[in-house]
Amino acid sequence: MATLRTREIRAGYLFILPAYALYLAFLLIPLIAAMGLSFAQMDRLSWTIDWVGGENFDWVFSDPRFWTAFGNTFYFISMSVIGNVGLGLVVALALDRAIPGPLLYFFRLAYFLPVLVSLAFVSFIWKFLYSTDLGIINYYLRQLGIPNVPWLTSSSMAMISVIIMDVWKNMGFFVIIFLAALQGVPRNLIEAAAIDGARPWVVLTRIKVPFIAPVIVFCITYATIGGLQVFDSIKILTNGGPGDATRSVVMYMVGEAFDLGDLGTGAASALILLVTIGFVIACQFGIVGFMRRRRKA
Amino acid sequence: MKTHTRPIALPIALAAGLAASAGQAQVASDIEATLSVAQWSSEQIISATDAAIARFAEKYPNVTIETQYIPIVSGNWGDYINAITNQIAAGDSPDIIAVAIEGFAQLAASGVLMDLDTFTEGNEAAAEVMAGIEQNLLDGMRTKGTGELNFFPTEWNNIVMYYNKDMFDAAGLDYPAPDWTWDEFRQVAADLTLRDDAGNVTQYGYFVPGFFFGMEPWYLTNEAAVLDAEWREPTVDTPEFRETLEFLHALIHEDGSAPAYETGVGIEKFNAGQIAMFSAGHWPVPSIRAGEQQNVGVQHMPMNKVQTTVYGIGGLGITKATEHPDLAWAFVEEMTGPEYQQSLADDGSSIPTARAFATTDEFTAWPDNSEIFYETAETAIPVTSPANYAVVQEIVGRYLSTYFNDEVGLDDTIAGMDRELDRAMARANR
Amino acid sequence: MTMMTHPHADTLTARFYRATRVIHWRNWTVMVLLGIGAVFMLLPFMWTFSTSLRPISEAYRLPPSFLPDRLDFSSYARLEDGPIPFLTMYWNSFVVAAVTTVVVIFTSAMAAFAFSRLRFPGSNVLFASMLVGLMVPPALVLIPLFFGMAAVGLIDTLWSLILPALANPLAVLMMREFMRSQPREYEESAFVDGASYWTIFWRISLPQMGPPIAALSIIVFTTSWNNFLLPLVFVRSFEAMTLPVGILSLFGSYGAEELSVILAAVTLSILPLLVVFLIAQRFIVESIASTGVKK
Repeated sequence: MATLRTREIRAGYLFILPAYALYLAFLLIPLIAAMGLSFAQMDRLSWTIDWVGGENFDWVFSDPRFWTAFGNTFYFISMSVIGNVGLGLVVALALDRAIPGPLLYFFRLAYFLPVLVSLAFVSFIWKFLYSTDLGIINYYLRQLGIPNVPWLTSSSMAMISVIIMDVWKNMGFFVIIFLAALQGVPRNLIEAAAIDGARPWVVLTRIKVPFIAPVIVFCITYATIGGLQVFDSIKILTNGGPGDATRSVVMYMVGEAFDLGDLGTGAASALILLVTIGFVIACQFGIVGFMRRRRKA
Repeated sequence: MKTHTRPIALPIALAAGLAASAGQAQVASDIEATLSVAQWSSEQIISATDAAIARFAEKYPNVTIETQYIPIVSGNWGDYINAITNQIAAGDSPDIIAVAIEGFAQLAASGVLMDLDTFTEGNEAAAEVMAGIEQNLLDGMRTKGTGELNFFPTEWNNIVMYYNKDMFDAAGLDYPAPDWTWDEFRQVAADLTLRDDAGNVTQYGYFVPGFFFGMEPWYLTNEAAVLDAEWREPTVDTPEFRETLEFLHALIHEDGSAPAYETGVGIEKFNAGQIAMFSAGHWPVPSIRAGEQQNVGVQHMPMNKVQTTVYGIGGLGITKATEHPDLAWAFVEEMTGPEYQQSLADDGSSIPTARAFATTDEFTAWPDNSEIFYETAETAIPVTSPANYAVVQEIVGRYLSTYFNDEVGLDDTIAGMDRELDRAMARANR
Repeated sequence: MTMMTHPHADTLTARFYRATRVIHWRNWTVMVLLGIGAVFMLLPFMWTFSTSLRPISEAYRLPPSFLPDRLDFSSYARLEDGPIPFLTMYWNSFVVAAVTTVVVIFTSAMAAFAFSRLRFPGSNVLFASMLVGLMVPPALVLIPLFFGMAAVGLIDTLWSLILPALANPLAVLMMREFMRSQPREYEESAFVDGASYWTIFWRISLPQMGPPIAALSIIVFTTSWNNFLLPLVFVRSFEAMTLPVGILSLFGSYGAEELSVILAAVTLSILPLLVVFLIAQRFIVESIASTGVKK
């Protein structure tokens, strides 16, 4: 039966080949090249390279603005994961019921529409909503007698405003993923529970949520990765300000690499970010594995 | 990779040699060649360039002009320069590059541009064009340090005060005088600020400029500046600079005559009738003209110590990598010549550099008192544009955003700005 | 039929109906809450659309309008007349997004088939190495990519926008997750019947994947359609420009933009995504319904 086994192995490699070749050519190899840069200083015009060892890393580690950006990024992640995955799950569970067809279409569309629009446009539009004295949101708040909220103009509010926009923009993605996962919950389980008189809350927590738990873990990981890379929305909404209040690590990286023309330092900060992402994800998987083992025990 | 330095060095030497004899050289009209032109993107530039290409095609029918328009998002010249630098590094340099003054020094410092004096010296046509341009503006085209003419001017802008005359009338105020002072301005801004019964502001006197260029006249009229005249050392830790920031801070937080500080120019707020005054160059004119506020005047910026303002200017540079320097110069002449200047004047989104086109009755017809635009060309000061402009702009903008929003005190603002600018300039001057 | 013959049929049916009626009452509360949420989700779009129908002079006025109070399409006409070739960019965006979607879906489904159905040495290592790609900030690989693209002369072509987007580890990951949750009985029996791996993949695995492929297509298509970074760096001429950067070219460099025109362009750029979503959504619902019938 060796031929069968060889056939399977050969098929395995052939099926992977197209995706992996593309991945290698357009992501992995450029990534390795960029990583090499983190140990170098490069002249942008002559494309000449001086190897400087760990100097770029020393600079990044000793730069307080990097650590501010680092802290901001983790604040953003924790809030945006809770907002996106948490609210996304709530909305998906709410949508997962007998809703008249046209209304269901409308709801899905409404919650998913922001996902479809370019962040560049979304941020542009939200700037008008958020403007402190002349913005649309504060205009209506004033009509209600609520004083102006400094959405983007105070350090304490700016990141919250960025997160609100992020949840508005991305929540629909998680709604759709959760909805697709909820379709997989066996209907007969739910019907049987309903016939046994189980309250909807019990059906929810004992059947639906446990059934889609792996998808929830996936969404948390995905939202974490997205959060670690947050860039476009902050760039257009606040440009990292006021001060450094909303500066993310990727913004710091782009600032060093492109605005300051210091590709090496930019690449070094990105490498630190990459290692951190890997660590955070490993922790998440570790926690999930630990919980699974405990449940079984 | 290191070998790339040599092939770049060779064309530079060759180009310099070629250029030395380039001035009087005539280009045969049947030459077959391709020129690539990199410009920033705007509707006006695209239409005007199309027209220039059509005119050029009559003189040189076998020349193809490849155009490239790079969008500049939220005034970030760094991205634009980076895009061009990437191309040059990849061995695919444009022949002609359009840049605004904010990017002059950075591009010139990278050594990729020709000295255009090699074309203009002993060239009667060029001499005539240059005679029609205010000398002060031409001086702004020269790179500090080397004194080379790396760019040839197309258009420029200076910052003036726009005001809504209807709002002045409604408040019973006289229109501002040419020599008005900061104190008078502050009083006027307060008088123009209106509140409804609940105490909500419905109309602000002024919009504090949320962009680097727009802040410059406030420093300059108080004899302050971000950097010294050579653009090498920070000069923010001075009483004059502090006073400027305090003055604008007071408009927002003491008088309440300006809305909360945010980035931007304020054109849309002016159009919506939410602010009575704002500072900008000539570029808002088309958009205001299309809007609801039609009774508009412009005046010099108010002064505290001196009356002056800032100017920014755009121009075209020719790269040393070009294979057809004389042809490139011919196209630069087309793009800076009379037809192009007229199209700028017609569009109104900037001021023609040639006096003859910027002082016509048509160009100065609207807004009221538009004569001051070209009048100030003689004395205006170029916007602070060191080779590391993007860094300087970022540092200053970041500190202003926390100070004007009352997050950080003045002492910490000045100290932090001074410290970071010090480091940035030391790195750049090395 | 079976219900009728069941001894407790009547009581069971009665209890089931009582249960559904209770849920029904709750449904209404939930639906009202969902409706309020939906309106808030839509308000920014309503502002965008209604402002694009206002004359430029009234674009910024407060209070804003969320419902169009007139139908003035002059801003849309301006897009047609302007010097920026809006239709060309529209077509480019479509070609880039469509090609990217087809290739990504196809290659990632193949890879997912191998990762979830076939055993071969190194498959775990290869899969794990693809996960690294998930964490890479796109801005980081831009400079090496630029030099690579320039070396093969693809700068300023649609290929420079398509090729980098074809490396999509997220699609592989999601496809693998979806495929692993599918039953493998059909595939195994086909294999026993002597079908080739390709036949199994093409005839059995892929058709099973309707809903996830629809969902993933929406994601890949939208991501490509909205990509801002690649055209910003790789494209120079309008002949190869796509919408996001092209529309932002309408800005003056110092904010003298005409808001109504920009918002008109934004509205038009959302439309095809809406169509894609509505079609794919129907497909999701139908395919789920059909699997329900089979069971």
